[in-house]
Amino acid sequence: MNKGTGRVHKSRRRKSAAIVPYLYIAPTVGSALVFVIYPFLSNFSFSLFQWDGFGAKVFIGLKNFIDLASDERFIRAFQTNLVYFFFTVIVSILLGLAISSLIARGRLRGVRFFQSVYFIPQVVAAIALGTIFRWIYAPLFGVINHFLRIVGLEHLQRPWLGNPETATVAVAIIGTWAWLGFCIIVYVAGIQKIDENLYEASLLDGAKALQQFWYITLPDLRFEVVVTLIMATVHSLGSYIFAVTLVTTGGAYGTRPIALYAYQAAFVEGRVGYASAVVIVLTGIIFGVAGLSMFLLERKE
Amino acid sequence: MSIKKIVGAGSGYFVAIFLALLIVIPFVVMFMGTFREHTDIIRRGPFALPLEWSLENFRRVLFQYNFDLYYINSVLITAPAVIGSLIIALMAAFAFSVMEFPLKRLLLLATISLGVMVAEVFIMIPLFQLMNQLGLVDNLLSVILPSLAMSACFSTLVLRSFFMGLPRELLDSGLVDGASNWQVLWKIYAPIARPAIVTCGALTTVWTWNTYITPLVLIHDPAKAPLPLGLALFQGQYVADVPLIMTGAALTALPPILIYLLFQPRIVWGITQGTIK
Repeated sequence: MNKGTGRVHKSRRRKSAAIVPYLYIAPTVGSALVFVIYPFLSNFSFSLFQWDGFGAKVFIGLKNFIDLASDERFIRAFQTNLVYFFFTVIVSILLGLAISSLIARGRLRGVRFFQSVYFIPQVVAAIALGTIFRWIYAPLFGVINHFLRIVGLEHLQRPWLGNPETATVAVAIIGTWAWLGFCIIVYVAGIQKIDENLYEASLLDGAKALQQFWYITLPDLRFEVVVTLIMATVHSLGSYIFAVTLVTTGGAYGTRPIALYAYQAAFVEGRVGYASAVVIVLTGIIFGVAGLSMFLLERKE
Repeated sequence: MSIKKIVGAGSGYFVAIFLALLIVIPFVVMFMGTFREHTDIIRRGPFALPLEWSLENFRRVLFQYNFDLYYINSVLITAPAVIGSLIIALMAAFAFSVMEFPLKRLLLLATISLGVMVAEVFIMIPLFQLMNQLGLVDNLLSVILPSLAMSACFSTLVLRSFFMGLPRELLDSGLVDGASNWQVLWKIYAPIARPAIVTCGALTTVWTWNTYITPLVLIHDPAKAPLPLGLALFQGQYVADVPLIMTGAALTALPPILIYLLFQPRIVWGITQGTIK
């Protein structure tokens, strides 16, 4: 009798012990599954239909993706996004490498102060940043045009966000402004971990500063470069650039990025299936860049 | 040689300071603008100091243009999302670091990689459909729940790596003393993890506070808009008045900047160490 209940108790306890870990992870994994992963995967099924989001779905296979290839507005958004990618990601990384090697190798005092200033754009809502820059670029009473008048370069004044020649680059530069500091923070932290003896030894071998940068600093920072590359890429294609373009130009004058095009297709034009296909292409680009850079990193290691 | 070093340090300082100014000036211009009047900006340009340090613009934006409501909505969204996510992330991180169970690696990978990498833009369309089916459109829960999930995934990642660094004896000695897993988590692990919890809390507060696309898609009633959405709506309606718009921008930007300045070393640590590892 006693033995019997003991066994029942034990097995029940073992059973409950097997569930315990799942109870601990259930809220996090469950909410991620329902509110992030399931919606994310739903894009794939949505993209196979012609659908306005409310009425009946019509299965059309890959037609949305085929249409994308010849959709001029999509191609335009893609080209615009390349400009954003270039300024937010490539320019920030290259300038960031140059500046951070100057700062970190010069052993400046107050590096921490500079680091904390450089991070500020990262914590401010993209909508607020866009709002500030809308005034900075404003045609009348704007900050840049006023500055140009003060220094006597009035002929350079123009409505920076209000014409196709400058609007895209003007928006793109906001990306450089916000991300350059972040890159520098990450790179400076990385450079400070490099053994100073390596530099001393290379000096004895007669290495110039540029050579030191190329053969010591850069190889040691490859991991940091990949991290900034992935994070800046996500922002130059995702929520960040979406909010900044929406608030500065509303996507006019050729400034519309892919993400804003997807939003307008889904929520303004009611082409939900088609917009999902756009989101999938966007996701593919981001995961492609991330995957490729991680692959190159692994191969180097 | 030493002259060369001084020149090197000098140019380093020059570049560092120049860049710091470039980053700070837009914010300074914004804050100066909040104390001025539109006609004054037209007359004296954007760089002039305010004539008087009046908080009149703040009063008007807060109470005439609904920013008081936007503030309340932002707090109502951010507080439950951040606190809730920290609690459930501590539980998940504890299980992922000290317990063994089938499918552990797969679940961990799915949570961390997809949960952390998926941005709002990627899920905005299906999320609207989901919330519509749940009857949560125009309900703050429709913004809270995805923010909670994403924050919990990020915090699980950081807290797990923190827990993995703790000695195993910590858990064993607790269990030997007769404490349950649950008690060990809350009485031993959670208090030790305080620095990591602060980092996670500060970062997820800033992110949730700044969230824009999810409310744009799911909140149609202006009275329920959080600050970033409210700021965008505000500009759609009152484009002309620069100081009022700058005040709205300052009201939106200030809380995250204050949180950042308060927890600054921990946040920069979290970014340079936490996410890189």
